[in-house]
Amino acid sequence: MTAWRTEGGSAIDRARSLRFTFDGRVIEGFAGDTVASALLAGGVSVLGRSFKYHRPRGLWGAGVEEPNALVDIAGDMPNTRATQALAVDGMAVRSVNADPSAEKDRHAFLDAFARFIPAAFYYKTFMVPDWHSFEPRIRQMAGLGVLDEAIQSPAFAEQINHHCDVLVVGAGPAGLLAARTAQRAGKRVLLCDDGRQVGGSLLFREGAIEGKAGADWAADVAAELAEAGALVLTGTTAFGIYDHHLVGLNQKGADGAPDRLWRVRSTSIVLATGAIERPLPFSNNDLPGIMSAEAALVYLRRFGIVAGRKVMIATNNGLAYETAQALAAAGADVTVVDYRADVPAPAGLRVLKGRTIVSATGRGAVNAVKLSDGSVLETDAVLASGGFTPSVHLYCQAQGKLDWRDDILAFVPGRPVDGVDVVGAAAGDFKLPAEIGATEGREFGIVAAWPKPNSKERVWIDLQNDVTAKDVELAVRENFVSVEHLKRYTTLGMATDQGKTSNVNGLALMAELTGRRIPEVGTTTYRPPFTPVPLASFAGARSGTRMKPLRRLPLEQQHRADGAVFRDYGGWLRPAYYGDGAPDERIQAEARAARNGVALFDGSPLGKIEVIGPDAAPFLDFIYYNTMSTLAPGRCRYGFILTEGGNVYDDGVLVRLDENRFVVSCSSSHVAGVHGLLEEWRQDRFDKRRIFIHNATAEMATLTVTGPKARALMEVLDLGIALDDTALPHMAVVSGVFEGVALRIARISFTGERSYEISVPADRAVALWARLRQAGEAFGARLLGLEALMILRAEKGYIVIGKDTDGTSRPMDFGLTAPLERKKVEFIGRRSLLTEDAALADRRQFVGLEAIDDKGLLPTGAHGIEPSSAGLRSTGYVTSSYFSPALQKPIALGLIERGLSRMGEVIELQHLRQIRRARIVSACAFDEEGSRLHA
Amino acid sequence: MLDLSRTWRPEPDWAEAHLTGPDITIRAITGLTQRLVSGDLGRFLARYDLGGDVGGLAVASGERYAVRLARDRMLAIGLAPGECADGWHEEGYAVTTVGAGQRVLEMRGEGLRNLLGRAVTVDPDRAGPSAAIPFGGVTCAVYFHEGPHALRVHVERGLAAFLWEWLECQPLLSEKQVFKA
Repeated sequence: MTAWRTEGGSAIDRARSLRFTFDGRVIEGFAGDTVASALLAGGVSVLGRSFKYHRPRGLWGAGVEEPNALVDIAGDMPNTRATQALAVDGMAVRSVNADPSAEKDRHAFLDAFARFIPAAFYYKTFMVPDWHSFEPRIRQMAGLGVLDEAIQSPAFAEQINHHCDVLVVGAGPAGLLAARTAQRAGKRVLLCDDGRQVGGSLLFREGAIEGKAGADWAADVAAELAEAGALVLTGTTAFGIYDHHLVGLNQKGADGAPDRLWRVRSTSIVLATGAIERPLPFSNNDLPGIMSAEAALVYLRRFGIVAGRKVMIATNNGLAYETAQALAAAGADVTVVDYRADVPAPAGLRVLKGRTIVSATGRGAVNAVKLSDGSVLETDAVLASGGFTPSVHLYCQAQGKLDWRDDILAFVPGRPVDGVDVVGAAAGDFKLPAEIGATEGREFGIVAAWPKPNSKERVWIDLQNDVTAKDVELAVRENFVSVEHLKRYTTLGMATDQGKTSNVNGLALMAELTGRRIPEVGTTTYRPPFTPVPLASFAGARSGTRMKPLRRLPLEQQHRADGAVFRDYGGWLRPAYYGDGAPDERIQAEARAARNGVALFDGSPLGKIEVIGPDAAPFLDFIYYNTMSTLAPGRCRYGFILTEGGNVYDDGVLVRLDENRFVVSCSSSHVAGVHGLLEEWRQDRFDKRRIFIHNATAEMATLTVTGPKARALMEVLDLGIALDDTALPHMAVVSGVFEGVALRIARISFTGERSYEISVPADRAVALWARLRQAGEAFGARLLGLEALMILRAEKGYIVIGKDTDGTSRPMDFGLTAPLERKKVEFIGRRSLLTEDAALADRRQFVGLEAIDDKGLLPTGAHGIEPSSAGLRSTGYVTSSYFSPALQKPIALGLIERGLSRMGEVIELQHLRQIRRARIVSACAFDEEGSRLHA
Repeated sequence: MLDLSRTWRPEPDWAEAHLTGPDITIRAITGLTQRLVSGDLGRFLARYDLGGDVGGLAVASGERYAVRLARDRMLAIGLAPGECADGWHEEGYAVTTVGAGQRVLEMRGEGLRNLLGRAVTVDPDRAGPSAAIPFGGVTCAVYFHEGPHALRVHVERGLAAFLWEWLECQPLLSEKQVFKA
């Protein structure tokens, strides 16, 4: 292709030149040029290498439909369409899938082996000895652009939610007219277009509207809309229509700014999304220098570039003639090959009627074409027009169904969709709106020019995914004849261009091969996005730490000041341990302090869900596995909450404050789930006027004092309560006061030591914690982090939901059978506990495991093993494993088949091919009588 | 061991923290007593002379008011400590004090509508009867106070730091010229 810059070009500013590099070569252009237009004007004919065969590829289009010219721009996104990227002075652009350059690619030899790597070859090869041997290399070779890992953009895409009466997608003539009509009717209008300027085809095609040149009319309408308060967004792609007609827009950032995502909810949507020109099928139709005829017109009128010196325009319809005449007027030597036999030839143009292009030739670029009459014509640019495919993607995403029109050889919107109108070329109407006096000289008059089977050479259907007509024939031979199979087997339409220029040609060939009409083959499902949308647009502000926000403790500042090492526990940022030094040593020391003296622990995330009302007690009898209605006010009881399948969902302590008020103290990571469960059953099964659920977890901070010296410390605090065991026995709760503020003190223990959980309003936590720290000094009180707490509870055999239970664990697996046997009322999961599965003898039961092989800790997750006829069989696994500071030896917990009836038995465990031996013991390894609770 | 204290910024000093943009200012306010009330809301409103309750993005007035969260749930603001006990009331409603568990952010300025366009998906002109609205991705109680230029957002205390960070990174709250819808 020997394109050259001429006069004119409405999009560029010739007073501002610029330079950038492409594959290291300096390219000159003007402000307003796209990377593609500058490359075209600069005589670059090879812009990239094809995906599979590394064939040289040139520019095809001028917009979103471009299948070949993908580039990586240094410091920016990979796989950018050169047709949409603005050229910027100093930018460094590289071709993709080419090494070292598009012009000279070291993998070009692959094309010589094309016959051995047709569509779907990878389903039949690379199997010996093992697919995984080949996978890394194949993955390396697949793909196009390369992520620049040096990019660390701090910016994110803003996300805006917008509501309006009418959303118009597409600011060409039909869209502008629709927007103006709606605006004049007093509607709130949003008009968007993916171009940098409104106008669509009016920017490069001739035509008059309301007595004005098309481009002038477009500018006037845009001004009127803006003046009237309509929102007009350019550089903005409507990429998808979702449920309830939510529309996603991606607005390109200007001057290096990040993109912006719009979520638009509109009463009605007008789709004026235009149509995309199709290629023509002939042998070697992928050579550089073969371009869309309409794109050539865009490059001439918008960028002042003539596509070639000796131009061949091949067309099966009338719309390409404007390109022919414009290029001829610009000085190109133009020949039109019109596939239609009976058409008037415009004066001044050489037109070869009733002929087709059979093949193109050239090495690295087209240099000649062979016609159906046997003649060979030299050319340096072939501009092809194989018809137009309306862009119906958004209509189909809105559940619209397509019809086929034989008169324009295209799929168009069929039955109406409520709230969605399709207008203009998107509806198959390729003329300017007649109702506003538009005039133009176009007649469409298309004839079929579909790919034919049995071509000798390769006819390219999907340029971006390297799919040829032979691949479609192969799919048919292998009986992949449905359109969905055709797509997946050949990858036709699966590239980043999503088949914008290839789908219909592929369907047409499939139709011929299978004796069907094109509408009988149909189309695949249209899914968002219409064009690639940066992940950053979807992420918005939810990136980095904002992606998954952790809840913060009221005492976080204090813990930081005390040198806490923080981790994520159940969605909260909590201290794992405190201080510098080896973590294991710190954690062991904290656990020892709790066993030997007193420790302070921040248990604020513990669930505190209030159940309030006269029916709260029977409600909780239904919720819990255990009977709870007999719990007296001021008392606490440990219990399980099951799923309807009878599996342990959560455990925790229920606190009864008074006759009608309970606090469900559930696992801190499970608060939302338990809250939802409570609310669901309240609404479904009980009188909603007599039970209410209030999640007060955030309201109260829970500060725990634990250890043999806990009571002594509590006495110094003077919280206005009696601390003797009669007034406050284990599993009881009382009210106290701290600096005039009411608080709750419960004797509940997760460490196995005497413990006091003090629940105080969160805004008083700092003061109380300071008091505890100050008073604790006299007792050597130590701060206790989560890691030490996990050891302490494991020494006691206390379970952690989700760690010592799995999705199949039932209460009897933990030895808790009494409620099932004795509880009279219905409760969640009861019936499932009566199933055969629940009564199976070989259920995995919760036990302790004592390592007896002097190899240290048993690995968490190690499986108990037993030989079977099919090899080794898992009999359960280790759920928790720690070094016990109290016992000075490893301890572990696990779920082992029939564990409760196998006490003392030695079993084998396997982990990463290592065999361990352990004895099944009681889960409680320390203070089995529980005397330390009252110490 | 991985230490997330470096990954997560400390919470701001809520007494001092403020965000200022060209036409928005945001700060945390304190001193609002808040009670979660469920049940016969009409009786509660009458009993404590709160008038009616306000819904999503509606305007509340005065020091004592109620904000509707669900069909049978609302947030009562401004009752004196001790004025209403926690727990079940025979008139048919349940009460829980929640003021310590909520951080209240007040946003003021001409740019509130633009901020709402970033923060909520509901139509500001038709927000609906519930003030429990996802704001910046977190369900909060969101309403105006004393007019359209003061927005109050009640966010769970533990998630306030996240919401503050989310607000901080919005271009509306930077000095640069930003897009205004």
